[in-house]
Amino acid sequence: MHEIRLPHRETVGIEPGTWRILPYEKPLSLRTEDGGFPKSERGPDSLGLRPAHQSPTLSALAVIRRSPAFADAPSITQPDFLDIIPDVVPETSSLACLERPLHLLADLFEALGGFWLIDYAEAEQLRDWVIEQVGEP
Amino acid sequence: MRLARAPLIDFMVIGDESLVMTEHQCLRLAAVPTALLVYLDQPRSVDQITVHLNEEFGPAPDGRIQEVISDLVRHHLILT
Repeated sequence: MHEIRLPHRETVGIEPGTWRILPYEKPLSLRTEDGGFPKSERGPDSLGLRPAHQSPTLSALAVIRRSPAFADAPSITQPDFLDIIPDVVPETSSLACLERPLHLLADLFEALGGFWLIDYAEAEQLRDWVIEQVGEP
Repeated sequence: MRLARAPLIDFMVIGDESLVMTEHQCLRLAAVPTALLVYLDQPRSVDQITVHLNEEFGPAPDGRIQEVISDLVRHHLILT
């Protein structure tokens, strides 16, 4: 997915209400070719990735789970708010520090038209879905 | 013995169910535990809770209300 801009890896800070994604330009840590260590730190430009958008906002929120069981086809669903939130919360790190965080998530859920739950095996399976969410580069 | 709602980060009722968030977890609650937690807007006795839930949902099977209470205590959502 080299044409997709990568604003963050692992960590994303999102401003409540505006849903603006705050910059945190951490390099990518890549394992050696055989999957081992030491990892090398690479900037996005050295990997052919575009630099991050200067003022990105959240257009979709997905809980993604990788499993070889979905090698044939990914499962991409939009569960109800009550169903998805217990899966979303453990993926966050500082939600409990915010004012009425469940209500905040409800606002975000409404603003985005729902959250996604994705089970997949390989990233390439999600290419069309990602393009659909963020638009053509 | 009186029971009280534990300090919660957030509690959100949707229909007759709810989501509750503590420092350590986020849980989805079914109708009966949701009604119990809503009722614990102030400390209540087990007898008061039993009367209230029986009014809301009809007579509960023997031991069921104590089971719900124990479950909520175990998840640190109510204090004894």
